[in-house]
This record gives sequence, C-alpha cells and structure tokens, in this order.
Amino acid sequence: MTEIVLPGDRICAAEELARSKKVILGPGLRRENEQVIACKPGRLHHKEPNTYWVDNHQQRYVPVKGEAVIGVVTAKAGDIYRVDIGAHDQASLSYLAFESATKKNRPDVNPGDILYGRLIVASRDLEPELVCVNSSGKKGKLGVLMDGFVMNCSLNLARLILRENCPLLRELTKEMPFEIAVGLNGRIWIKAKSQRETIALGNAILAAENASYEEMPKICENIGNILFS
Amino acid sequence: MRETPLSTIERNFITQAVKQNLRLDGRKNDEFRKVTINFGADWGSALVALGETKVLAQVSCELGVPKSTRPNEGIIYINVELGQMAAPHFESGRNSELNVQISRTLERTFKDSRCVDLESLCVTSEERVWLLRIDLNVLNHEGNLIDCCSIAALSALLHFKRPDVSIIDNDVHIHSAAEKEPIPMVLHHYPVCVSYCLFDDGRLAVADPSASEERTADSALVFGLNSFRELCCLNLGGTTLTSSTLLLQCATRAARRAKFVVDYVKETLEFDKNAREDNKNTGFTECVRLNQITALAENRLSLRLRNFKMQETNESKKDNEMETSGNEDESEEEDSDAQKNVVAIDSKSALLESNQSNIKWVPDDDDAESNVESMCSENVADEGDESERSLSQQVEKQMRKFSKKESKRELSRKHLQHDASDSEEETKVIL
Repeated sequence: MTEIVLPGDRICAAEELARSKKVILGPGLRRENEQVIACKPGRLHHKEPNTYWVDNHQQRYVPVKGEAVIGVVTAKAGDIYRVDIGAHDQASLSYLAFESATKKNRPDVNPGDILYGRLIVASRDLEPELVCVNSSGKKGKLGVLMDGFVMNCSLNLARLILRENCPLLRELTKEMPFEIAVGLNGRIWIKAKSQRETIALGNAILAAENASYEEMPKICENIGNILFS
Repeated sequence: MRETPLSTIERNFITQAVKQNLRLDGRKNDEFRKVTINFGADWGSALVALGETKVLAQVSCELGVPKSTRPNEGIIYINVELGQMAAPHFESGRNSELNVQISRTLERTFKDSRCVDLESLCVTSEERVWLLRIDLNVLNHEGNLIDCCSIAALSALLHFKRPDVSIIDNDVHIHSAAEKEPIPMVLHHYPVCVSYCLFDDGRLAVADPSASEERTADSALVFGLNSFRELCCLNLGGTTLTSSTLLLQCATRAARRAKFVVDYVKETLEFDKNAREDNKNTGFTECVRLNQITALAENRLSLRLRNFKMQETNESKKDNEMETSGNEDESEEEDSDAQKNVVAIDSKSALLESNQSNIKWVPDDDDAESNVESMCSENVADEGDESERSLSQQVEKQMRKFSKKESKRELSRKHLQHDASDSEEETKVIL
C-alpha cells in the first residue's frame, strides 16, 4: 500500500516504530526532534523491518556515493578529466581510475565522450568524484560508451527501470536486441541495431514514465508493431 | 548555470539519423512542428507555441516624439527577453549573441519590410506619434526561437488595438476603450520567419530545427517571407557549403509554410474575435481550462518514433469486447477521430487516470496533415509557376546583393592593397 505525502506531513507510523527500535529514514524524510517529517512530495514507501522513504518525481540530480551515473567529458585538466553529470558541480575523474591505466598508459578519453562511472565522493561541499573501475580494479560495465544515443529523463524513471520487478526491459528485449546503460542521474544510454530502432527504444522507455507495470508490455508491443510493420 | 555539453555520440546520432530522413521527435526532415496560438484577454497579447518552444508576446503603445528625419511616422521597438525561464543557461539582463541575432532578424522582417503602416500611427506631425513596443518573452526554448518569436510578434501585432485619440486645443486626449472603440493596427502584409538547418555539408536542409539539431547543424538558414511569397529577410548563419538549388527549394517550401502560418494566424484571430463578440470567455484562463497551454501536456515526449498521441482507448475496448478481437485495429482507427476531441479537452486528467484505461499509440493525423501540406513537392506546379519564379528571382537578387557587397569589399581590399603597395613603392623610391 502506498500513501501520498506532502512536504511538512508527519509520518506517524515511523514515529511509532522509532519508540521500540531503530528506524532508517531514506530520501525525502527528515527527523526534527522527535518528529519524522516529509520534505518532498511523493509516495511514501515502507520496507520491512524498519526503512521508510519517499519516492518523488525529480529532474535535478543530487550526487549520492556509490551510484552509477552517465556523464559527458567536458575537459582534460592536467591529470583529471572534468565530467558533467548534471549535478551542482562538475565531477572529477582521475585518469588513473581506469582499468590497467598507469602514468604512462593513459586511457583514450576525449572531451565530448560519454562515460559510465561510479561516484566515490559525493558530498555537498566537495566536487563529486567518479571512477571507472570497481574495488578489485576491473572495469566491469563502466567506462567510455561508444555509439548509440543518450537521452535525459526524470530521476524516478531511471530508478523505475532498474527496479527488479519492473517488466519494461524484459518486455523490450522480446521486441528487439539492444544495449542500455541507466545512470541514476537521469541519463540513459541506448544502442540498438539501427537509428530507427534506437529512437523507438527511447520512445518506449520515456513513454513508460507514467505507465503502470501492467501497461508496460502493451507499450512495448505497440512500439514493436510500429517498428516492424 | 552552464549549458549541458552536447556529446559526440549525440552529434553523430543526429547527423546520421538526418541522413536517413529520421529525427528524434518523429518528424521527417521537411516537417514542421505544430503551431498553436492563444490570445490573452488584453489586446495585443499572444502566446505562441511551436512544439515545446513557447513565446509570450505583448504589444503596448505610448505617445512620444517622432524622429526628426521621419516626423510623421510612428516608431516600433522590438524587445526579446531571453531569461532563465527559457533555458537555465540563459542569463537574463545580458544581451547574448542569440538575443541580438533574434531581435535583429525580427527588426529586418517587421521594420525594414515596412509591413506596419507607420504613418497611421502619427497623431500630430513632428510632435506626437505612437511608440509601439513589442515585448517577446521566451517561456521555453526547444529550438527555432526565431520562427516562434516572429509568429508571436505577428499575431500580437494583428491582435493589438490602440486607443483612439482626439485633439482638443492642441491637447491630446486619449479615449478609454469604453468611450471610443480602439483602433486595430494597419498592416500591409504579414511576414513570418521560417528557418532551416543545414546538415551534411549543405546537402540536407532540416525544417524547424529542435534545440539539439540547432547545436549540431553546420549552419542555419532563416527566410523572412510574407503570404504573398515575397522575401523580407534572408539570413545565412554558420559556415557550410550551400547549393543554389537547395536554397531555392527551401525558399519555395518556406513560402508555402509562411502562407500556411499566416492563414492559421488569421483563422485564430477570427476565432478570438467571434468569441469576444459572443461574450464568451477569452484569454489565457480559458486556455488553461481547456488545457491548451499547460506545461505538462501529453505529447511532450522528447524522443518519438512518429507523431503519435498517447490515447485512452477504453471506449473502443468496450466496443471490441462485443466484437471479435481480430478487428481491433480497424475500430481503433474509426474511433480515433471521435475521441480526439475528448483527449484534447482533458488530456491532463488522462495522465492521472491512465491506470484505469488502456493506452494506445495512435497516429496523429491532425499534425501530419498540417505538416505534410508543406512536404508534398508535387503540388509545386499547381500553385502557379509565376509566383515560384518571382520568389527565386528575389532570392537570387538577395544573393547577388550579398555577393556584390562581398565583391565590393574585395575590390576595396584590393584597392587598399594597391594603395599599400603603391605607398610601399613610394617609400622605396624615397628610400
């Protein structure tokens, strides 16, 4: 069951629970003395045993440590790259933060390239910092994205796509083969066989913004029909 | 705030897609976006939307002193406001290059073409004339600001009525609307701008470019045309090769588009006039009620395969339940016309209610027809070759003027060089 909350609403359920045990407050919720107050409008979610958060519609990205984002390289500055991730400040990315990069073996990254990276520093006072390797020094899925297309979407759509029970991508794979990288900063990189298919794919994803899970297969099927008819 | 940089892959994608006659928002290369015009309750205020680009125009007037060189003519100012509301990277209060370019192009189309009868704005010669001011507020920038601004300026000018004056003992008395009926503007012809972007080394022209296309394109091409297919202004920005055939082809298409737009402006004006006569509600509040100008419209998807509308089809579904499910598509098409009106009126509520209904993508015939009108090149012959020829002559004339200027410049440069070499020789001689 979901409940709609507005900024300033008191979340009594969380307060009740806090008397007996610890409660984790997620995004959109704030503690003021003994009260739990919503600071964003949206749907209130609760996950057993003790987590509460508000899922809201938002366009502006606020960096969070550990999130995977898509950015555009804007400049090379000494030994770091400047990357626009749509946040308050440009993120920095060291050239050593790539797989098997050394001082002599620099990665081939140029201004204008699209990167898929992970945030390791995200504080409101510091500039965010990206890396393109995981903790074991491997690149995994991170790195420069070639070809395809990048589109902007709202942050909740990006989160929606990545949810485990979301049928959108599963249904889309039935229609056509494609590659996708979803940045939690509201940027989605897609690549299909042809330009037309890529546009169709983007169209289907953006159309899912206000659709329910039951409607998503219909949207995908429709797009598929238009594409191949 | 800095403008989000356009990545290389976006650039490549757009240029490659354009070569296949594909565009991100589902249009063909020579298709235009849909124009909607809404008039305010006040005289001379118009809100024009070209796709998602929105411009609010307001015409106002005051009495002032004429220029000494033209003592019996009124004066027009055109002011374009590009603030943060248009796009976050614009800085208000600073005259950016784009701002200057738009206002200069509009001045050329409206002032230099002398479409407004300035002499009718004179109250007493050398003393008092009307100073007209066209304020264009850009509310949203999604590309092709010039077209949108020009349509807004034209519709606001046509909608505007200035108060009547009478001169009593050398004293000008301005009558309020209640005392005397305000006087509409006198326009000799109706010019609008139509712009194209050139891709692929000037081989491809893309009509009505969106913001990302404008940033990707090699150069921009702006035609100022009136409904009589007369050229008022021609602007070639950027650097690319162009062929004269492409230019002429664009010019003829632009002329047809200009005629279409002007007809549409007239039509909406007529509609507004009738609504006022019937004492119906007019103005933006009414538009909000009809959900014509709200920001969150349904067809805002930035990526589209074709011009499709999200449409509720729960009615047709009911119909289909009675029939066999096989001919679903047919009834879909039949119903689409009847349902279109319903969707247009309360499409916003449809957003919220979409959970209960069945959403389908239905071809947007309305748009297609209005846009295709300008596409079919077979009709060129029907419209009379003479006008076509005259237009091409005009374009050529403009081009020639331009090239003459260039050649003059070159000549003068040569002269200068000549002089320089002469003087050098002289100096040599002296030395």
